[in-house]
Amino acid sequence: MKLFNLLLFEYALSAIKRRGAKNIFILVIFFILIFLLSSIFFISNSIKKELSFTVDSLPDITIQKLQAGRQQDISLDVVDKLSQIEGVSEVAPRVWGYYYFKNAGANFAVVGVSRFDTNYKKSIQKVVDKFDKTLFDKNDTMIVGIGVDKILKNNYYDKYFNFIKPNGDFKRVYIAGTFKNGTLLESNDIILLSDDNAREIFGMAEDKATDITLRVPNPKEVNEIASKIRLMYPNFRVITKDDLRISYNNIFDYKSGIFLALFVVALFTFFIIIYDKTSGLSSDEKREIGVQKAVGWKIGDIILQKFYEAFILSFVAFFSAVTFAIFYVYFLNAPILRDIFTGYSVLKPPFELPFSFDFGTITLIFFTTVPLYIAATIIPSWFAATLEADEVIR
Amino acid sequence: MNLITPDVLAILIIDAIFAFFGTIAFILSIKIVLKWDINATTTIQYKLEKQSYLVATIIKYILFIKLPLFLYFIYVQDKLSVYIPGAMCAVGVVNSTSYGFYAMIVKIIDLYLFSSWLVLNKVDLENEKMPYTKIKFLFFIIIYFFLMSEIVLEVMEFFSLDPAKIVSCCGTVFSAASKSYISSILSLPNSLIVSVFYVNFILLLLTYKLKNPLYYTLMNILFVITSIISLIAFFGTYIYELPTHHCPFCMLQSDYHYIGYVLYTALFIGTFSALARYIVLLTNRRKTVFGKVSLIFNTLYVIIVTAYPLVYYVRNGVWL
Amino acid sequence: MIKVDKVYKVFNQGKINETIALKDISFRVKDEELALLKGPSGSGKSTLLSILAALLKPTSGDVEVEGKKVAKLPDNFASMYRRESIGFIFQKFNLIPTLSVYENVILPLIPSNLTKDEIDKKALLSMKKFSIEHKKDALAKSLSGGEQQRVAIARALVNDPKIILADEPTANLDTKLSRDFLVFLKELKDDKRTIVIATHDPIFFDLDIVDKEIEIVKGEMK
Repeated sequence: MKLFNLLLFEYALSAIKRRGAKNIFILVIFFILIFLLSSIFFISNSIKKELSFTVDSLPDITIQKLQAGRQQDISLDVVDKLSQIEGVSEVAPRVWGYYYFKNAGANFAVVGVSRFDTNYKKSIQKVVDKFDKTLFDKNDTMIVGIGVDKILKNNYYDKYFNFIKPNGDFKRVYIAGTFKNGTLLESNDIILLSDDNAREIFGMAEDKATDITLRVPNPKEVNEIASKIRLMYPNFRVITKDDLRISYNNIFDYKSGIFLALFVVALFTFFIIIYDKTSGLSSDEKREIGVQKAVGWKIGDIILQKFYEAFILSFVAFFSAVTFAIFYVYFLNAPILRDIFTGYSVLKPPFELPFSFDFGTITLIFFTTVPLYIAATIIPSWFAATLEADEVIR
Repeated sequence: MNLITPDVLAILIIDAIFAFFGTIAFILSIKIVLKWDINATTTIQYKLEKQSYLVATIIKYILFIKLPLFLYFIYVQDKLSVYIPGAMCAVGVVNSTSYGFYAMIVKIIDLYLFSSWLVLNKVDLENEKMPYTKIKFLFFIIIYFFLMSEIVLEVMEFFSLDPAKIVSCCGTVFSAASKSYISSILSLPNSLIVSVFYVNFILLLLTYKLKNPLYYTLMNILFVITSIISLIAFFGTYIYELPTHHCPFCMLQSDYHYIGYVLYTALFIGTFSALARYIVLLTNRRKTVFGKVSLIFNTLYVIIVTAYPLVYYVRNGVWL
Repeated sequence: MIKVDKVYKVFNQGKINETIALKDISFRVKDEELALLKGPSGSGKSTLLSILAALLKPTSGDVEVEGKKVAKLPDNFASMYRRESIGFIFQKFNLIPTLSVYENVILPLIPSNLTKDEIDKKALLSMKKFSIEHKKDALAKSLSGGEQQRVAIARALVNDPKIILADEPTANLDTKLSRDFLVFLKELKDDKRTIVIATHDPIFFDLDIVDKEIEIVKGEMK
């Protein structure tokens, strides 16, 4: 008993070619569908990966003071108490915020760094070390990300920038250098300057900070310590790294969830289209089936042929669409589609999507598409195979 | 939205397809069971003959997709384990809801049922009088209920996964300390479990030699159960080289060279072939290759599974 | 031996457009005989031929071919019967124009479990017999009428069937090709095959090689 009839398979292949126009139409639609779906999955996988790099470098615990549900500057006198908690190896207050540059309609992230406290973000630490530390003692220098630099230059600020303080005064700060950071998502809108300068720009008091970050070397203790702090200071919001990771992932899945919902609708429509297209048999096709049956093809043989046709078409579309999507997303960086995910903002510039090839994603795309296609052909194939042969061969 | 990730959604979409086409097949099956008469030359009979092909095609389609989907289902459960605290692999996820375990069992039963139907169908079509048609479609009506139960259980399982609930992983599920009834079986001494397994296999060989297909089939059904239990309780620990690792799923992962796939495939082919052979012998009484296939795959399973502890002993000089 | 007993065929039974295509048809065709089914178009000849080929099931009655009852065979058995025992020659050749001669000839054999070599052998034999093996890779649509005719016959003969059924084989042919067909017919008869031809072309009437004439008018035997 032969398990696989190659001749029948080849016949199916030739049958596809013979019904060119109709099959190309189906192939193209299916290709576009899978291409869009794959691209969206690949982009979202990449961005998730990017984000998880980011999340990893975030503080183990971040503490913010809340008043009336809103974040307020936190007082530095809690630092001592916090450093006494067992398991906490370091307490680092941070001064940072967003500065809105009206002329360009852009938001800059202004981050204070101090020379003596090791800065929390290791990446920023790396950058800061590159430059002359004494630069920071002068009251008026900053280092900016290349995205910021570009915007400032576009607005004729070449060597310095005038910040407008909350009281209306100007503060001139000179640009001491630019940096391009590791993961491009985060580096472009950042301005680094000294803690004191930052406080001045935001009109923050000397004994306050924006928030306080804690380093907890043992990840298993993080939740315990977070609970302790919540008990100690009920009006503080205590955010752990896990919380951040989960909320990033949730936003992500939420957005992809919307796409998936839309996609299900598209799939359903597609099912109907395939059903319709494969149902409509031209008189030529009917004649061919009639002849096949007259010369001794069983109903089962014809159904098998139709199945091979469906399988070949769907598989070819699947394979080529996925390949093209890989090319589109990772080599061309997914123009247009990418913006749907990262939101439209002046400061979100060309960043590269890291390559994250996941066999599970490909399998997922396969199961969402190919079985659906084949299912849509079940009834039409059966219908074709059970035509009364005697009518068509007269 | 609980844990309806894209992977879960893909499975749900396919479930919807199965339910839709399964129901069509169900309705047609009822019609056929009620009105089939091979000797009639009425239009209705000819229509029914045509429709019987549709049912067969639908069933082939479902089985064709079901087999890889089953593996994908396990993979998805594994992936979901990161969202459920305490679950370290698919076992934790499956056990986190009351439906998970039953869904798995019905899924496995369905694989056997669908495959058996196809064997019965083939046998029926080999006979000019098609004598088993009514039985075959009656059989499908029963299978339909299993199929729908499986889908319902699966859907309920996905919707009741709760990332806030802490669950136990395989270490506790299968250990003697927990209260689940799987563990009550596993709390039996290994020597007993393993002996029962080998005795089962010997009886299997005997019934084959004695050419008693009914008993051979029964031994095979028993073999499924004893194999899985002994795999979880004993042989698995030698695959993982860890006496407390009682997981039926981890052996599907690359760390263990995907040996799980080999084992489970061999077990399925071996035991299913026994069932197929019985169906063929019962109906057509003709020679079939299923008997040999069954024997080969079952023996293959036993050899591989025995090899692990033996190799371990040879390498380390002690048992776990 | 072909035995037809009291065959009735009613289309659309019970509906408004119910038609009785065949009524109480009975006849015998002995082995190696050439039988003619005569009758005007619409008389039911084609329907009868389809029933002989088990492409249609009669409403009542029996058909026995080579000792096998074929009237009510389920589809897969009917197909096997056609594949093994029947060579069908259609009115309009019914070749697949975009396939080659070779591919057309092997059409009946594709779903069988023969090896490629076996199929090759049979195909070549059949093509040689009707002198078109030199065009085996040519597309069917590029052939002349006569060549297409030969391909159609080669296809019908590729599985070496005992019985040949031809439905108005000369209806679309000119005089020359019709006469060529008669030559092929003689060859087939010499091969000791049983032949049934449904036709109203007078070229067949009073032919030497015709053993039997069965006349069908409005579905009934005359």
